[in-house]
Amino acid sequence: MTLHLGVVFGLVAAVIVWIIVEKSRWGYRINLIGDNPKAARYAGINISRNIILVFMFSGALAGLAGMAEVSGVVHRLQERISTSYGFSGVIVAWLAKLNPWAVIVVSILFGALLVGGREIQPSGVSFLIQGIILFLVISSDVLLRYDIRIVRSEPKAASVEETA
Amino acid sequence: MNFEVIIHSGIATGTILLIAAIGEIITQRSGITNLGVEGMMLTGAMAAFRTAYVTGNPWLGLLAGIAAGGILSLAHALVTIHFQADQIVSGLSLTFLGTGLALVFGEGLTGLNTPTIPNVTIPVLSSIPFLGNILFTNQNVMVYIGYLLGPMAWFYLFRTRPGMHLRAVGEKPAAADTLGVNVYGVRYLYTFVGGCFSGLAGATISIAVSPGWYSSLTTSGQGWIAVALVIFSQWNPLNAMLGGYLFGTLRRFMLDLQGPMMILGMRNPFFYNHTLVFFLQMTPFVLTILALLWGSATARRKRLGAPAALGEPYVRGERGL
Repeated sequence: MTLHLGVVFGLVAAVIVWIIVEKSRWGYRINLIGDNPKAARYAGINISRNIILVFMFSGALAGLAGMAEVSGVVHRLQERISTSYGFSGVIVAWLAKLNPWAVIVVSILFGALLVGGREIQPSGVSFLIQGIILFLVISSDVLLRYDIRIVRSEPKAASVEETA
Repeated sequence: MNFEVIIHSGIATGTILLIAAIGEIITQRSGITNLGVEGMMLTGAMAAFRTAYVTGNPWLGLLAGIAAGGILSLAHALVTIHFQADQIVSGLSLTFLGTGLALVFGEGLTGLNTPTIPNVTIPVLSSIPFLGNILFTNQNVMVYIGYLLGPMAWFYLFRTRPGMHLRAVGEKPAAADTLGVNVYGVRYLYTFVGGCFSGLAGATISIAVSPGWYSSLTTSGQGWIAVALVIFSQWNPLNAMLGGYLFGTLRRFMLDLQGPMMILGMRNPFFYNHTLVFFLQMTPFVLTILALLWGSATARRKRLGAPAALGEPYVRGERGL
């Protein structure tokens, strides 16, 4: 079993991030900066300061993840502790649509994918699968934004439009 | 440690960065960020190596590398141009896709030998004192192609009509569209061209400058450095040349620093203490961050900078910027 205390850290982190992003005044500012930087500046929010704070906070979480992996699973300091878990983290965040609750579910499923991928030879297959999944997820967004309508136009109307 | 040797091979390594960076400049000038350079380079390197190995002809390998990078970039083009997806995330998934493809199809290539692109000495130019030795003696053919690529890309971007259309699409696609420029077509074309350059850069590694297939270590993060070089160079191919050679030389210098037991009459700390080597390995990336800081500061001062529509999907008839 490689289950360790890091799981609890992860769950707590998800809750804290949810509280910050959705319930706190700071989170409101962060969201405002992301949605409309101009409005945020007119509202007197210090954009650079907040961006740096957010970077530091997410950097700290990444450090926590590295600590949990080394002290919980790997048990020693070596050059490569992961096959690009950092980049996979970005994929998980996007799959979860940047929602901390969804991240919990998605990261467990994605973890299963990575562990399963380790058994598959050649070793590139899990990279391949991750790439394809992310591509499909971001391209499926276009279907949420538009809907397909079948418009039957009269032939006469069409010709009028062409000459106009 | 011979500085002439360091610069000589630094230029060879820099050629890789320069080719990838110029490709990315062309793509970004059309308003598309493609962060998948690392993945495309790796796939290009693999395709070039495998083709050269199977056919015995390194030039066919080069073509295969170019084609592999270009075809892979079309996935990014489709997703970002027509599906209007986030270009950063799409580029990241392209990195994964490219790395995966390269590792899967590169299985079993490690340790094999292929015919490579030859090194040549240019007769007259090589007799120039100092410069001739560094630039024109026993360099790879790809290095000479690199010398030409920078000026050619610059001329195309800033002195020709298609180049102007390309920049217009990156700065203000709606205006370009009203003037009859096919915005979607231009963006597809130059994303593809950028991908071809990335593939060529990968091929330059695996069958020319440092031949061999070492799975994901073949590119070892050079694609990311190339992306940073684009910002460092202010989206100008000539600056990208300088930056490429500078970084190439530095990388080579870091490597050479680990070799000798004595430096300047002192015990070489990197030879005796292995932990310090990690700091040495960090240096290119630290320098990349510094270069980015410097690059964006100059951009602000000169009021230059990224193409205005960089990263913005263009939808005909919708209000953009």
